[in-house]
Amino acid sequence: MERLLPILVAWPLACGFLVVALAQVRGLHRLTGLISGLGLAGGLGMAVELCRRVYELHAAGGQASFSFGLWSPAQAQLYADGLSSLLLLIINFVGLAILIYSVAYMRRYTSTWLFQSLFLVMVAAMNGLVLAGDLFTLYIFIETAALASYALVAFGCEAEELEASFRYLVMGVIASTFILVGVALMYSLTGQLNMIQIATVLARGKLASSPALLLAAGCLLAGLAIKAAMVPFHAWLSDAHPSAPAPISAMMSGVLIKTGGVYAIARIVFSVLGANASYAQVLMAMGGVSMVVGALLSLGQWDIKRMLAYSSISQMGYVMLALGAGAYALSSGAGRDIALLCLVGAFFHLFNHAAFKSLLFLASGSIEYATGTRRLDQLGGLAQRMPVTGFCCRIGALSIAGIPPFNGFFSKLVIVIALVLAGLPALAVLAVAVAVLTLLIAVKLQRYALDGQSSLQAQQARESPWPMGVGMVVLALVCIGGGLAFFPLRQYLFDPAGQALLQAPLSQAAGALP
Amino acid sequence: MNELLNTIMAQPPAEATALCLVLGLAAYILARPLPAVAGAAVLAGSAYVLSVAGAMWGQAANLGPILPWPVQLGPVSLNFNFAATPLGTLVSGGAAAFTLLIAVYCFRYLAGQPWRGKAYAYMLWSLAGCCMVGWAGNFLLLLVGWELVTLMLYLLLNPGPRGSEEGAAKTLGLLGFADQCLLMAVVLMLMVAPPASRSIAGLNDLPLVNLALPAQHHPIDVASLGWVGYTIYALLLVAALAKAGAMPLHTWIPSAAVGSSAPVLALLPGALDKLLGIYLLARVCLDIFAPDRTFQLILMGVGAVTILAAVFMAMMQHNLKKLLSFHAVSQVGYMVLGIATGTVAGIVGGLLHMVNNAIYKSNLFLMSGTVGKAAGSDEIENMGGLARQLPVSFACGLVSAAAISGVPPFNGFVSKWLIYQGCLDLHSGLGVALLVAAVFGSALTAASFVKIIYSAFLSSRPSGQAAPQAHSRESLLTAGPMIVLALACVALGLYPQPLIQGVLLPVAASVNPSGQLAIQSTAMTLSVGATGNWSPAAALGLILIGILAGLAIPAVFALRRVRRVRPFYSGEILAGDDRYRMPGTAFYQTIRSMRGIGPLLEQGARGSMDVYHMAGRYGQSLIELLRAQHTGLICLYVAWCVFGLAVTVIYLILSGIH
Repeated sequence: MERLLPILVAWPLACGFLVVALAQVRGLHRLTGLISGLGLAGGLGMAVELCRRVYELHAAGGQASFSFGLWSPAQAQLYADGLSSLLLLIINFVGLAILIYSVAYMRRYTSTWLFQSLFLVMVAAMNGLVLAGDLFTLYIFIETAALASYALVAFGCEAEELEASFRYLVMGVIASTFILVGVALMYSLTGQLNMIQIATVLARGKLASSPALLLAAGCLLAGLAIKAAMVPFHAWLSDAHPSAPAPISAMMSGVLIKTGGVYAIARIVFSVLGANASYAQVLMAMGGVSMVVGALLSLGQWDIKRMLAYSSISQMGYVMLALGAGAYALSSGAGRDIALLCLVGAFFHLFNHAAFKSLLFLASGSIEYATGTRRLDQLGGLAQRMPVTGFCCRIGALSIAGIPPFNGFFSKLVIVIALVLAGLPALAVLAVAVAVLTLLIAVKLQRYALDGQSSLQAQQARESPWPMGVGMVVLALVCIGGGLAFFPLRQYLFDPAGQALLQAPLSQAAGALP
Repeated sequence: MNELLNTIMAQPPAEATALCLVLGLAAYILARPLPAVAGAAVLAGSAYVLSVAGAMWGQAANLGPILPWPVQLGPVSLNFNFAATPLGTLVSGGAAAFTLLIAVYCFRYLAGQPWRGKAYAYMLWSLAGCCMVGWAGNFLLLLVGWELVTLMLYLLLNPGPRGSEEGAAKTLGLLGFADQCLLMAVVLMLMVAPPASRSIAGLNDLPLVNLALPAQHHPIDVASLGWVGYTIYALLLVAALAKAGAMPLHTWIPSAAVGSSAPVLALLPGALDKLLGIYLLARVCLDIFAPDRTFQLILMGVGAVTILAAVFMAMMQHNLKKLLSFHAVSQVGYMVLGIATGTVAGIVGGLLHMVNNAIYKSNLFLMSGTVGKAAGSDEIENMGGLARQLPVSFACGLVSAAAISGVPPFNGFVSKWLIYQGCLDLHSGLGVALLVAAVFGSALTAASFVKIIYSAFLSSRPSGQAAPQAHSRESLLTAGPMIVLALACVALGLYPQPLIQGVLLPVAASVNPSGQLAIQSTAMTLSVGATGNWSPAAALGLILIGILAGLAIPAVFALRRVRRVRPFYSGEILAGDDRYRMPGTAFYQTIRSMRGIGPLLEQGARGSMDVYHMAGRYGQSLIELLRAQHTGLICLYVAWCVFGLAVTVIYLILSGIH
């Protein structure tokens, strides 16, 4: 099973390079789509298998993790536990749905193969990112994923896209600088890069409260918060996400900010630094502010994709808030049960958001494909003209609005209950208030895009080609079934993921220091 | 899975709910190819719910959880519990009856509409939501059913004729806000639960959360729970009042009424939403919390203001559906007022008014459907002379209008009379003031229905208006439901005793546990206290005598020889000139010029007192403020990041020192 970990990174990467090679050969360039599909399907298969094995170990009550080191297992570069396998599943599943969609969508661009290879590199980097066992590996994969995404944001090569990509690049470089400084400081303080080893060193000494370590922690948190687009580090997202082609917007909003930002923050706070009250407050503050600001900004937009991008900030705020509440529950003595509940809520919402936000971005792409515009005030009546897109878009909107029986309702409920149980009723009220704003966003989207009279552009609209429909319907089914399937999902995915973060200290599992 | 099926099959309410959900799914799938089958599914589903409600009539039973694997959230375990209470069964059964009748009406009214199949599916799902609320054993089930009804209302309003999306969006926005309030209230209940009950039994066994209350339970004193208790109470009230449509959260009803089709209005804002909202209000004010003076005063104020303000707004309207929708708001005021008095007569009156109002209001909306179709417009000024074409609509509309105006012996009178008695039972100046407001509101209601009946049915047709087409005539399918509802108005007016005795009095008795009930009902009379006496049969006799006497006058004095001439002026015949037509709306223009009230109503009509618009305006300026910061300058964005880093590091170091 340990050998699967490098393959999870290498397979999509190899497929990506193969796509580049095949594209240069006349006659074989038609195969690029198939190869990229294989790259993601293989990744999905391996992720499912990993989830299954992790669950078996988890159910048996043992240590549910695998580590792989090039030189020695104690210095593992790759490490998989419940949380990594959950994210692997999300990345590859959503990636596959988006790839199917992009088969038809990307026809209007030239050099589709370039898109496919960059997409595969991004997926491989994200796979590596969630499997990273040491800080430097984490940094490398964050950078790789970011590099691929810079190119993909600029894929259309229009002025707007190039500008957005440049802005994104600048902010990305700042994030990388922060992260790298943090990693370097951490290495100089502890002499270790491996996360488990750093956690062990920190647990032993009095280092945990030294200003140097706090500076390192602050740099890491700020750098990763840029990646996660938490307010006030969020400004790049609203330009970068809408400018990319729709499948890439879906991948970035649905998956990339979760892996590069939220996952990495969760991992570093819980598994490396140790969840204490200060970190909890930082996370909750970032989450709370992002929730409110993101939702308000989103409500003011008339460009569908911009609206969805801002709403991603708000939704990631929810996840961050729940993570912070988990850390708070651990440090305030509310109990591991409550902390686990907060984390389960966070991961459930993360999972759901991956489904509905990707779906909404794909639907917005389909709308743009059919009508040529993304302006809400130039659309209307699309539910009749484009039944599949309209249906999927409505499902996504109702899910994000948190209306039962769709998945968003249940994760919102779990998070709000968890916040109250963790002794944070004011934040629970805030979360519900933001839910009202989110509902209004969903209402606005439906009112102007789907319902009412068709505008001039919308009158010519026809349903998009079927591969786009397939990609959307798959995600819509997750939105419909995800809420009702909370019980099994939690048992197989979220509980192992939450437990993985709560296993403190990690060092007991991985053995003592050399 | 088998276990789940077995539990559901063992509980008739759960079974009925599940059946509606499944039939709804089938109807949704068959909506396009076989809309008739979808329609039949509505009949089957609502008939089954009716039969279950009939079997459970008057019973109280805690049926327990249905999920074999409760969702354990830390110390809290979530499950869906069903329970039967007499009032809840009334709500579910009533919802089924309305769904059945309106589905029959839709067969003809929506014929040819491409979305009718889906409308049947949504009707079934909203019935399922009503069953969940009516038969909820805990707040979790109630919450899910509640939001389901909101969603279905939105989906039903959406495909209306033209411009309906505006109202539908506003409806989902306002009701969605109310739903979130309900959710917050339910979650906050965890805070006031004693820790022991959290860890041992979970959410379902909390006294506060359990809706299947045992016979000997004691309502909670809200003051004993501190600010959390008050917050929960207030949030629950917001949810209930918004759903029912009391001021100031009523504005979705008039907005939704403009573009959407009549049966949808008859079903949801007309009937089901009233049942649900007032049901929750009654449970909150009577069962769950002990009566609280502060909230009673607030609610009485809300009730009185709603009655008067909405009826004034109604009188100003020229659109039939919008006019009716303001009456739908105004009538909620009576229910809220009755329940808020806290007296037995008031509570029984308020709950009876909930049932009565649902009946006549949905009948009036159905009437507006046939009238609107025949006149080709919803504007009252474009109507006229429809009594001949639509005799059933005219008769049923007349009965319903009399009922809503509180004319004896129809049902609206009985419930209003009980509410008046409830106000008097307060034995204070406030009670008298409320009584005056309620009676005045009733008089204004009558005035505004005179306008409708005259304009639509009795006045002459506008000259530009073509004669109604044959297809807009009444058929058995559209007339049947209206006749049934009109008969219900008469029946409940003449003989409300079984409903009062069997269902409503026990609910009201819970606030007056001393056992002394203020209402005695016999087969012939209803009496409240020492002075209030109402005998429907005797009253009917007197009224009939009066009517016969009135009819006798022309016969006796031979006044029937009436000479009819066409309008004539200086030798010119003016027939067909609308300048000499008497539209029903002209008189009511004077309200606009009334001192004091007129400008206020103008303001209201422009939406300046609409919470939805207000929130929109203030929200918009906040959003613009935030948007103005995002200028696209990279240096600014980088500065934010550096600032964020600095704050984070400084905070970490400062909190690390302590």
